[in-house]
Amino acid sequence: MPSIAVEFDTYDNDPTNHIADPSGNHLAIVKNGYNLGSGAHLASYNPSYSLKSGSPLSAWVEYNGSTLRVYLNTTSTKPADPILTYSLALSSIFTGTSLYAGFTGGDGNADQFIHSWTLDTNPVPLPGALLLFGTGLVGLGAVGLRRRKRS
Amino acid sequence: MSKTLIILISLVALILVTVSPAPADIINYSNFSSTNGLEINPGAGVTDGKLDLTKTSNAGSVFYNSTLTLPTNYAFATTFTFSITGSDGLIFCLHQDAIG
Repeated sequence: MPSIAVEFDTYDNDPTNHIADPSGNHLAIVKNGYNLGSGAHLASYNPSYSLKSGSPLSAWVEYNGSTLRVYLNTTSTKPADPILTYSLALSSIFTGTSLYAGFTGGDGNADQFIHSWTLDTNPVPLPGALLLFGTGLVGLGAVGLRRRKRS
Repeated sequence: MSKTLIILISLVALILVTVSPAPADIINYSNFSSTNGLEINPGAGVTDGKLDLTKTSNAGSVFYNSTLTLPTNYAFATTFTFSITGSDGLIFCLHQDAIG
């Protein structure tokens, strides 16, 4: 299934070899469905604090058209630096730009809570508007030039 | 081109740029006392105003119930606050499965 995901994984499925999972306390970027094979984690990170303490953690996931960045904090303040940075073309995963967004959880005998959620898109400026903006700038420049010549 | 026309085009262009799309808030839940707009799939539920992904089962999911249309370069920014009390954890996901 075409997908991109960030996992907050609190269980080590591969304590012997650490191929499927780097630890029982990690974040990772995965695509096209979770699997445990080698290379399933495109990028991963082991935070110094526990992901399963039950205390609220805040995460930011951002894509700018070429790079996926993940930030994590124990407070609601976004840190300056991402903990995961991975370059990929979402256009090579998806067909068209209509997508579903959400969360999945799995447990042994525990709770996975989402307290709050926002998602924004950052539309690129419309080519038409840019063209008009350029025309406007040229126009203003032309008026300025004429005025200067006359004076 | 007359000066008036140039000024007119400039003004129209500037107005268009001013009203061109700003980053759009598609999803905004400060809590989940209301789950309007969400698909709470089997296994998941709500507990004390929080999405409880594994409320009634060992696996569950919650998705925004309509598709998002991302810009042509797929740019997006999402933030969420979560808490986990044990294994196995949770996943934030963008997908294109026709089931939704």
